[in-house]
Amino acid sequence: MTRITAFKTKYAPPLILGGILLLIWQLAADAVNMGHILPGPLQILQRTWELREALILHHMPSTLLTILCGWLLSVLIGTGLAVLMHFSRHIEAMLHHALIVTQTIPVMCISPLFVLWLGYTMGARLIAVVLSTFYAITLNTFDGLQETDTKKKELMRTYGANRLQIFLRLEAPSALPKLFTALKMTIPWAVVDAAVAEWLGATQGLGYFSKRMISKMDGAAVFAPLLILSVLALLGMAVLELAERKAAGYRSEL
Amino acid sequence: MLCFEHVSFTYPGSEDAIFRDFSLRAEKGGFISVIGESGSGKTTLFRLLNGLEQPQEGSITIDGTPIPEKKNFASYMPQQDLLFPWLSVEQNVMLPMTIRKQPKELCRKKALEMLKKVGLAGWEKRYPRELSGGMRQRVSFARTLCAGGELLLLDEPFSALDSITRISLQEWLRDQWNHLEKTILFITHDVEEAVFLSEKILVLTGRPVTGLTEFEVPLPRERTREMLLRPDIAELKEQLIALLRSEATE
Ligand SMILES: Nc1ncnc2c1ncn2[C@@H]1O[C@H](COP(=O)(O)OP(=O)(O)OP(=O)(O)O)[C@@H](O)[C@H]1O
Ligand SMILES: [Mg+2]
Repeated sequence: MTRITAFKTKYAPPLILGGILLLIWQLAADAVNMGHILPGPLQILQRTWELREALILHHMPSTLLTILCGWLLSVLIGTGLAVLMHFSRHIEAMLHHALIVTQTIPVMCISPLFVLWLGYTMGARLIAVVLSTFYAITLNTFDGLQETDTKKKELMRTYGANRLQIFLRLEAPSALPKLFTALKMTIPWAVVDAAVAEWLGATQGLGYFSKRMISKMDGAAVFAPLLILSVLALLGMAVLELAERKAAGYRSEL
Repeated sequence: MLCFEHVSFTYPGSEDAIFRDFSLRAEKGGFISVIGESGSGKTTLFRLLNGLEQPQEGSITIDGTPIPEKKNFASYMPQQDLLFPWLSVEQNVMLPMTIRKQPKELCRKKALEMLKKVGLAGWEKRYPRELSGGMRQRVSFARTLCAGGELLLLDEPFSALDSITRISLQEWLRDQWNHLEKTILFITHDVEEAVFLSEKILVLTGRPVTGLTEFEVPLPRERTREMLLRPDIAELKEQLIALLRSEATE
């Protein structure tokens, strides 16, 4: 019974909304009847199924690799910078504005430059992913570290804890929920920017495939790789939610 | 023997002194309550004692040794329980010992012993969110005992609790002290609580605090709540309340 209630309150509303939107889309697509530029959801599903081998075996692996490597690199750089800034006020002052400036650059516009430097390589695409995601991670983690309860810090000091012990045993766990927020925020960005980077400089990958299908005026096939990207992003979110519940379920008690 | 001599203290960046030429002597082994109106400097007194703040003038010594040279002599129990939500009850209690890098097994053994003492045997694997307010305070007390100081600094440990839990924890604490070889300094707002718990009551006076008034509590070591109804105790309470009132209106 409780399962059914949970389903009703948690999953039913988004499913209903999604269903309605898809239905409208399908009806509109049928009415316009120009499948090469406005395919409906059914045509997209069908085309995805037809292209499944090329998409999943040939193009998805390289995209997935870009997303994962780029995002993990970003997590490393992002948390690393946050910790540095947390430990040194000078570094914080130094980096604060520099980091903001990096966020004013549209990744889309500057990515071709990375391709000129590094060619059609993974490296060029990784830069794009890192550039679009690390800042949110730095900012959230830094906030989390700084907002650690002063009273708890003082208590640690009365036990004789040194700076490193306070960091490892108190500040890091206190910042973990904020880090998870950043991870959940940036996973979709990493997916999107990996695809964009492939648009601009790749010979393989879901983004590259989508771009090629535009020149072939095959609307449904433009959407097919995007469908797979969405599924990847949703899967990533689900995994993160699960990890968060296991590792940082104490968010509300901080 | 705990000794404050001519201590003056102002919070850095603040204009108003909290203590001026303040002196205090307290014997080992007692249960001493400190009362004073809100904002008078009770918590600050503890912060000076556990080294979180340094006085600008004067000295604080334990058995003649200045505080900065003493280590682990005082264990501080804050007003909120400040349990770490990501640690189990046992890990919370072990915290002060693991910080000192004592062997894990020893810490665990001591923690279990302390949890048994505070009546929470069997709860060691639970998490703070599964505990009631009174139980959390007892975990916090067990953690304070594990910090190993001879002097316990308890800062209004029961003020956030409902009155029934509070009364039972007061009786429990008094009983603990009867069996512990510790000196307890206990901050409270509550005159009745101070009288029931302590041998001696210190009232901070003046603003900034320049001195204190001492009261002996004429109750035996083993006490019951009914004794609070004795006429001499009722008079002591009246005296304390009158003094606190006059301090407040000054
Ligand atoms: N970190 C601080 N910086 C500056 N002033 C402070 C600081 N902490 C406390 N004070 C001031 O010092 C005075 C004494 O504070 P303290 O916390 O010692 O009072 P208290 O007697 O414990 O009060 P309460 O009963 O409300 O807990 C207050 O006026 C307060 O505003
Ligand atoms: Mg206080």
